[in-house]
Amino acid sequence: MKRLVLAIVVALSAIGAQAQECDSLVNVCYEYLAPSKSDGKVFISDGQVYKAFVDAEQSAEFKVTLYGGSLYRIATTAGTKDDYVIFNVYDQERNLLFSNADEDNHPYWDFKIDNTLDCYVEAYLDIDKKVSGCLVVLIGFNK
Amino acid sequence: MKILLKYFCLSSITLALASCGGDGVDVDVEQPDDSEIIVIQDSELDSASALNASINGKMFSIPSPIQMATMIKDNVSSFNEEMLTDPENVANFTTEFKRAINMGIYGADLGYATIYENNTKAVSYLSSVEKLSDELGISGAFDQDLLERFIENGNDQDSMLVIMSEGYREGDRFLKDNEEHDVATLILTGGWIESLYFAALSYEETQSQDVANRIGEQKTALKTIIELLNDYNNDEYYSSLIEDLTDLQTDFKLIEFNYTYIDPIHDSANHRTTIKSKSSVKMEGDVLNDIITKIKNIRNGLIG
Repeated sequence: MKRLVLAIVVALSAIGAQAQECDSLVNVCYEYLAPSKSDGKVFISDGQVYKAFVDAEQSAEFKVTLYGGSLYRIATTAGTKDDYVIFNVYDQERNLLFSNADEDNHPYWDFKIDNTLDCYVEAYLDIDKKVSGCLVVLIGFNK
Repeated sequence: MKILLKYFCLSSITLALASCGGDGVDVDVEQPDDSEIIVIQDSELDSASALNASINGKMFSIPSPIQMATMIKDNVSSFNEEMLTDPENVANFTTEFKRAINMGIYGADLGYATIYENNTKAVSYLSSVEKLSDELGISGAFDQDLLERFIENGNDQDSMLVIMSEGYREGDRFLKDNEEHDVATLILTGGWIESLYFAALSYEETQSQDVANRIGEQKTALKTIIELLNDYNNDEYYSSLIEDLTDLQTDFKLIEFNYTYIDPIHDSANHRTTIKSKSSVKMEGDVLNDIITKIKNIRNGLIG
């Protein structure tokens, strides 16, 4: 019985720690949308925070509609260093539009959209730098 | 082989602004080849496989009402108060469904008023959002401090929008952390419906092709919202709304989208990529008129 209680306590503690880690990383990631991290532009969040606790060999993906005539910023974080996360952006036909792996895992990138399109954003940890943890992705648009 | 966390966390609230409850991850699908990815495009949004996941749910994106309001202002320069709801109606919303839906609707109205720099109106909506938030038991989101900061930044629209989004983000975080995904989904839905209502009325006023296109481009968002509502409709409280939105979807299914890939242009120095791909929306006038009529009916039924 004691073992069971101990296991539950440990499990709950782990879950709590993960949630806490994710929450703090969301705040870090929001900084990338703020003017201080850019050329003075403010990026307004699309209203959604994408976060997941991932291990090596896992990725997260979501679909997003990017509207023509808009400027977006996709920002990521997974910890204290800026280059833990690799993210790829694909169009609806799975053509790769961008990968920050080609840009030294830069934590955020801006996308100027000429015409509206549906995209898939895939994000995962660069296992050379971090093997597990919370991963956060944000999208903001410049008004 | 990479495992796809297909349904990350549903975070939502449009206007929002949201935040996900966090830990919402469903590790369930392998991604061995392109053909399976194509299947994911269809099945990922399938309600049967979505939020019944053991954790939080799927990742999706719903366009922000702020973005819709910004686009509308590009086409309609004058503030149209008649388009908005009455911020004094809070007392009329006595059920959780009505409170949550109208918290989303008020959020869109708040965004619209802020974009049009009608700060007096914006503060009225923010006060109403605060009341609804309180009645829904959402803590740590819309409080007096946030309201004061919103007012203090009355001459800085960007700051006002950020503060507003902060409130919705914290609200969403609270709801997700407390497993109240249904309420979060309703807030999101209300915001989306109100922003589509703005677009509908703006099109009637301007006949703008830009606005018409933006309405047509909501097809994906509508599909996602219907699936989310179905996921949380265990008690069938949302059946009527789902039915209305499904009827609306029949018109959206008649819209034709064309897409042509063009190589993007990367600008490493400025951390920017320009997406050059071409796309177009083709929709008959009757279809657009039907959509406008239906969205007006749906929205007006929700604010009463």
